[in-house]
Amino acid sequence: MIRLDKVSKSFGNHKVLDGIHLNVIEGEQVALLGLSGSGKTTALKLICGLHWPDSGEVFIRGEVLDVKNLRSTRLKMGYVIQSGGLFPHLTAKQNVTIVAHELKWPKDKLEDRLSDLVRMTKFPSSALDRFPSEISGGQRKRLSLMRALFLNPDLLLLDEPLGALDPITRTDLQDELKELFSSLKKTVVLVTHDLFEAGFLAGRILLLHGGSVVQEGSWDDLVHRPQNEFVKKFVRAQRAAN
Amino acid sequence: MKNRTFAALALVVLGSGASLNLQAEAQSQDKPIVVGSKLFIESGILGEVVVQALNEADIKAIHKANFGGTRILWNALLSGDIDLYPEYTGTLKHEILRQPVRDLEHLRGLLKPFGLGAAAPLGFNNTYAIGVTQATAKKYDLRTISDLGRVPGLKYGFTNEFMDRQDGWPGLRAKYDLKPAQARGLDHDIAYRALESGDIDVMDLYSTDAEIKYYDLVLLEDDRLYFPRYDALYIYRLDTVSANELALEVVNSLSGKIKADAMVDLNARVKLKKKPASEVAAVFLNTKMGFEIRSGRSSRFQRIQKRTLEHFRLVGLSLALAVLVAIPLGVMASEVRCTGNAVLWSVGMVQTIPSLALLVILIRPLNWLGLPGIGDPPALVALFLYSLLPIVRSTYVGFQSLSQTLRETGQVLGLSRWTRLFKIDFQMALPSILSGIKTAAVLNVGFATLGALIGAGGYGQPILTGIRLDDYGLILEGAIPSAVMAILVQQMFDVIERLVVSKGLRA
Repeated sequence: MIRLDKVSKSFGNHKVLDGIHLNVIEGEQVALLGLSGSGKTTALKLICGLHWPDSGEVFIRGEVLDVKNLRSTRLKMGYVIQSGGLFPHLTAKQNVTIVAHELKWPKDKLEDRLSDLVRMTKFPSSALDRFPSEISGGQRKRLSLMRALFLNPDLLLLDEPLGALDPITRTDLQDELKELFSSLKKTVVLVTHDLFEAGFLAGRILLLHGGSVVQEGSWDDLVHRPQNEFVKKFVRAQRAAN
Repeated sequence: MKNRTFAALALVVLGSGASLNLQAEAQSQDKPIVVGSKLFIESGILGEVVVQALNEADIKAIHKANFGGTRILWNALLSGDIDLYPEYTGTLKHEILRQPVRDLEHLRGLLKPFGLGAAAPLGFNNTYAIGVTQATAKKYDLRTISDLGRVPGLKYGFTNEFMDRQDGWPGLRAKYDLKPAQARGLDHDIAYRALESGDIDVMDLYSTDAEIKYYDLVLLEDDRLYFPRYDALYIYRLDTVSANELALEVVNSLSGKIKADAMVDLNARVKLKKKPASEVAAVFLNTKMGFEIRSGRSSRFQRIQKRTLEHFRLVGLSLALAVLVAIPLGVMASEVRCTGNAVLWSVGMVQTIPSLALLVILIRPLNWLGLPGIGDPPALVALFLYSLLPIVRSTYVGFQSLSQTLRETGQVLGLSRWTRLFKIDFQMALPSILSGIKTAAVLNVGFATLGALIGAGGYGQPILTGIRLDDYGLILEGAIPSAVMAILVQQMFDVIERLVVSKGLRA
């Protein structure tokens, strides 16, 4: 589904990704884990064409991502950007349906899809006419997810989808996400700095550090079979935080 | 939301456009003789006199008063924006033609290549004069300027212009070998008071100043013929005025009819008795020329109403055009990186041109484009140019301060470039853009008062006349409605903001 082939990316003199490889197969849930500045968000942005690699190539469904197929590729992926990315001047409903409107979906199809998603994400339908500034943090996360899912894409890219939430809401939403993933059978790439969230939501974890993958494997592998000092330290730090 | 924004803009554009068209149509049907006059009382009265005389002969004539200077009027006459105006032989000689003029025939010969003609002088010479009080004249037995040479201890007070001009004080002092105790520059109106109080003994004046009569001053004879003659006369276009036999006859009929003391009297009625120039001109024509003109002065309400329309049209139309041009420019400055500085720098430069200079600079390019260099077009263009900076800047700032995350979200969602621009970026930048438009609108209400200097009407008209006449009532008649309009415009934009800016951005 997604393949990053020896991809490097620098901003100015700072090398953020240094020849990384990534292969995500259809239906798989993969987490990119790491500290801030490890390159995990950059890797995600390369997959949706917000950044272009300096060297190496990005393949989506076997095709090299380029300017020509960028828009059609994007319409087939759902992206939840860090901090939500909700447009403040649009109501909840307008935020969720903006792309369907542009694609000129018929009204009944649009309304059907909306009510499906409202049920699926447990978003209160009474809040659909409110603006993002008028709803709670948890509801905003649900809204971002609804928007990402609206066109029913087979690929979901989630960048810290549950950041900045209180612990209870966060764990509730983690449960809901896991349920969604298993029922919808989407291919998911999740970016997070939380080892437990990564382990809970993804079958496979790539731990990034300094622009390279330092260990790849399951939660169990990382916690019980760390391959070097950094992984050990990272795991220990996460335990302390939780 | 977008539709409402465009509807509001379209309304402003259509509204102002329609009113301009109506006026243009009305003018083309029956083209009147357009008389111009300068920004001082005497010129205004002479303009009014000829307009009323023409109207009395059933020739349609209108008066555009308060032009900002000789050059503006002269150029307007050359381009045909006006057909006639009162000028002085000295000004023609020294400032316009810049060559000696022997007599009227010679002057007519010099004007002909410009397509212009001159009527015979009106009968008075408004030149520089040297004046003293009756008491001073008696005390030192002063009759001529030469007599001043005998009395070395006197204090002279002159206008700053007179102090500097070669044909003013430096030349006068040499010609008459004067040795005053002191000679200093001061404001003309203050000089009269200083003369009365005895702070100065001698001042310069114009020989038809209204105050000569009021202060009962003695004008000393220029016995060595130092001052050039400034005989007042009408100059006009050959293609419009001369071509109309009756009009030419009316203009010529005024020649020799206004003597110096009559002009002093007319000036005094306007300046000191605060009579409107139209009424003074009518009384003069009725008593001296046997006309029967009823001076119909419109009511204050009618005048304010008329000027409000003129003023609003200037502000509204220029602003609407500026909005249509400045928003795309601001977006371009922000989104097309290499153009950013060039755009902001250019609109900033325009703002540094002083307003009066801009109005004068615009005359020629507008004429090249076949548009009148006076009246609405230059005022609209100047206001348009001044509106650009606030709107371009606020659009630029609005776009620059958009969150990077939201812009990326728009891209990743797969939205088209146009949807992102109009439905997202533009809507989110709208509060900033509107604040720029509001600033431009409020500033324009003030700037537009300068339009009166080039015959565009509006609230500037009574303000200029009021300053000229030292009449606070008239100044307020322009200043108060202008301030009210500024406040209303501000509130109108607050309402527009509530209508077009998403509630989500205001929460």
